[in-house]
Amino acid sequence: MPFFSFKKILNTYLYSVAILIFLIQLWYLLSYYFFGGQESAANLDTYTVSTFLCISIGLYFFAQYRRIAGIIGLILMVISFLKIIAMFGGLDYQLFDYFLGTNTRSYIPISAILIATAFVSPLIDSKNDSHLPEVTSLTVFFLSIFGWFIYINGGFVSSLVSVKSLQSLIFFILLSLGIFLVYHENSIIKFKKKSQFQIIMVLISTVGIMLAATFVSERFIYNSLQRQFENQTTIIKNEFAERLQLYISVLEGGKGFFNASENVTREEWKTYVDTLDLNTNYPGIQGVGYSEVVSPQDKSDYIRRIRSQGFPNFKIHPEGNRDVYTSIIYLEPFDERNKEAFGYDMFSNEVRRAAMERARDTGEPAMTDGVLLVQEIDDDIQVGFLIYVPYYSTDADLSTVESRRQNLIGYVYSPFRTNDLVEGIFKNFDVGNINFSIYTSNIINEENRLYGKLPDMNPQNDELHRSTSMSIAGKELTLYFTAQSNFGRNFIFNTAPFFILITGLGISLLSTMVFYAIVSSRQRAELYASQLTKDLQKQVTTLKSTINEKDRFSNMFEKAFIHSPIGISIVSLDGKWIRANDELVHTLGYDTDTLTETSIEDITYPKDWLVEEALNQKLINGETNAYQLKKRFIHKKGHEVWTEISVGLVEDSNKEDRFFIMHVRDITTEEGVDQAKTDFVSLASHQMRTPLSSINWFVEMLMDDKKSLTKKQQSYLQQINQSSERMVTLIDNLLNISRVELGTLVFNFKELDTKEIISDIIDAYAKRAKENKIDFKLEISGDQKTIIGDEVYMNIVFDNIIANAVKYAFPETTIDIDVKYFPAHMTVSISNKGYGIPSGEQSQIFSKMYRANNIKAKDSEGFGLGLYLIKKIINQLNGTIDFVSEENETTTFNVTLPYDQE
Amino acid sequence: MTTQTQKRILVVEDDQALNMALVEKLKDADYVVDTTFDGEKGLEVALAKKPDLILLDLLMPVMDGYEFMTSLRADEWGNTAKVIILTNFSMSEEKVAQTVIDKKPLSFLVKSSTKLKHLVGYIKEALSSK
Repeated sequence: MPFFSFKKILNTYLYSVAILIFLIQLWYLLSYYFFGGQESAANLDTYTVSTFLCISIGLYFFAQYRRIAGIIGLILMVISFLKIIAMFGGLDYQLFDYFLGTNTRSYIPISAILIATAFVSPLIDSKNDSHLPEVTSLTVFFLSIFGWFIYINGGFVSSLVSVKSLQSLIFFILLSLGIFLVYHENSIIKFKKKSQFQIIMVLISTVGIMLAATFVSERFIYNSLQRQFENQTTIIKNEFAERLQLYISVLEGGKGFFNASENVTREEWKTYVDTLDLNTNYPGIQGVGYSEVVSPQDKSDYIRRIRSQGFPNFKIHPEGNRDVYTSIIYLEPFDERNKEAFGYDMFSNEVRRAAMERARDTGEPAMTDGVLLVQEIDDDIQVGFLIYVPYYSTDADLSTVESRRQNLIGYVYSPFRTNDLVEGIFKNFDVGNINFSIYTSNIINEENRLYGKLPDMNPQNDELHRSTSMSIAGKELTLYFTAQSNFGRNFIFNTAPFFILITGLGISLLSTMVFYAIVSSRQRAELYASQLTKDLQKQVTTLKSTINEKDRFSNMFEKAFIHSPIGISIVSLDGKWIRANDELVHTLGYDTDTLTETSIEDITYPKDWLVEEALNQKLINGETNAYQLKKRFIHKKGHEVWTEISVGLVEDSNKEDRFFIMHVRDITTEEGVDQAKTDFVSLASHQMRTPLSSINWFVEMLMDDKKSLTKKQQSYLQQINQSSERMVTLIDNLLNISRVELGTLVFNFKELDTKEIISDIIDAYAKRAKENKIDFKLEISGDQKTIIGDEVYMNIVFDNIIANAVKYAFPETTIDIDVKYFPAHMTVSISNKGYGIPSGEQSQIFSKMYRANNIKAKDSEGFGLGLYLIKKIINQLNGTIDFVSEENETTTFNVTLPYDQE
Repeated sequence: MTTQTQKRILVVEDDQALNMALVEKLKDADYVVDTTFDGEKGLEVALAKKPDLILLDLLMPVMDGYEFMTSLRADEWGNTAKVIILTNFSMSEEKVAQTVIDKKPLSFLVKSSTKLKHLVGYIKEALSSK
């Protein structure tokens, strides 16, 4: 997201404009009402518009929070807008004033209501619409621009370049920027109120400082301009006054001429005026003339006299009967214009008369108001005036008005064309970019205007103006000065405010941006930090609880380990004790410290260690997961302790930190019991064998001595022998079974030739088989291999099966024995044709003490132990045994044996 | 009186009947036979008479066959004396097997499984070989 976006900037403008204009106009409002302003009604008109614009803008600003105020504001804005249009369009916008009013009295209450609404409405409606701020902002922005445009144009166009309005506009724009950035609803950074305030304050203060600087410099310049203006205008005024006074002196001189001379002839007057060289010395004087008072009775004589002087057409005009007449008889230079005035009775003219009478009555020079001179004969019409100096009879008493009236002879006067006069006066005079106009009274209007243009009485900006009065020839003239726009332009400091403005603008913008950046980044950092902290806290909390769990757990485990009823130990891969729990320590009789300095090997029965070591290696290599083993430890006291150990390899995923975990169960008692059983069996069988051996041997010795035995005795001995042989077999079987049951079967593995074993057994049974005419057929197939097996038990297995085959075969049948060699194993199949195993009993044939019914009936000799035993043996050797049998038909027993039975 | 070719056999067997049978059979087979009924006496006789072969039972009072073997093999002569262990224990008994491995009798026979004539055969073979 860009640091600044147009939308944001816009919005800022708008908000700030709203606030500021609102406040300023509020200030105007209040100051006008409470402190009394100087503005005229006309001035207020533009104010009204902008005021309402601003109030409504202000309300619209609030509108983002308060709907009601917003709606009212909107209405007001619409009305204001319409008024502006009407103004421009030259339409009658007065009707809007009924709503808005030009009169302060009307819009103050309205404003008050609106302001009150703005503040009260939050109590009613504080909904905050989502997009209202943006709309508000845009509207306010354009309206503020527009409003200011209006404002400016209401005054002087030239004031567009006025620093003041420009600066105000810029000020608002800047403020908008600042405030927008802060208040923009969708800003990524939610500035804290404090930061918002800070940013605004920076913006306001920097802009404020800029404005203050500009203002101060402006004031300074204004003041100096003003002073300059004052000075200049004073100079102009003085110059004018002096010059006029000078001209009056000319008239006085003329009067003096008349006083001095008994009779002034036309030629003498001409000489006098010519000498004056009016054009050179007294520019602007139309002429210097003399007008004589003529009484009605003297009128015709007077006309005749003048006519006789060479003016046949002379007459006193205007025609008519009047109480008294005056006639201009001398007017030099007697040019075309002035000739028009010849014989003119100035008394007939009201304005002239007024001055003339004043002059007559006061004895002082008198000036008329503005008149249209008679001399105005062409298009170049100027306003003019005349100054009269009264001429009385010499040596007359002129102390009273009456006496003056009595003694008035005539007037020395001058007509002035004001433009020419002024231009003449200031021909070589640098007025210095000041316009002025002259009025014959203190009322400045067209009627009284002598010279210049009527000033704009509604100056929109503080252009310099000055109204000053001067007393000339009994007239209070008013000079109204206005500084032209370029007044003081040559004054170098005039441009300073502008530069200050620009610089200040730059600085404030920069500083605001910097501050904004700082605050926002700080804000971001804080946000990030707080987020991070929150996350971290969360993590820490989770971690803590996890650790607690783990602690608890590990404590539990620790305790469990130590106090387990079974010995547990941790052993290194090279067979050293790392840790042993209490039970193990107790079992072995060592203490923990000693134990950790020994290895397992050290305290294991040597024979058992070999097996254990091999199994451990298998664990390490991953060939097996865990193992169980019965082994003997050597107790500290030196005796053997039978234990059952369960060992597993513990490793983590990257195969580091591997160790054995060994459970040690003391099976002394069990072993003791087992041992007792084994010993019992061993002893019992031994004890049973002993008398049997005795019987066998003595019978054997008896049978050796055949000569001394009868046939009957021999056969009886034979029977005895057979019985005792059976007994031996039984005892052997019992012994084997007990070993199987006790798990003490021990195999003695060596290389064997199965074929040979089987052949031997066949030979052993051959004689018995022959008794029943039963044959053996031995078949061998496949690659003959030797097996690793136990000779004794191999014999037991095949002896058992073959013995059964012989025992239960029908006479005159053949027993087939197939020995097959396969790549990984060998099979021996022994088949006979005989009684077979009934199908109902086949599942139980390998059970202990089981003899099938059909056989039991026939032969009660068997013990039912054989098949059980050999199945156990074969299973131990990783082989299999199964059979197929049909009663009274063929029975086949199949034995599968791996080559390596170890 | 013993001749040079006649071999002397010592029987160490505690069972009366068995002892008698053995002595009879051996005498019949033309051997000079000494007999004792316990291990202690047997050891005495063995070391004194230095028989060519000893038939040793394992389960005996006073001194059993295991101890006999241990003591016998400790003796300089006894170390190489020919002994056939004749017992009704089976090789599957661990102690028996251990003794066989350690003490190196010539052979090991189970009485109840061995006919006398076969025993004589074994003896003959043992005495003829070195």
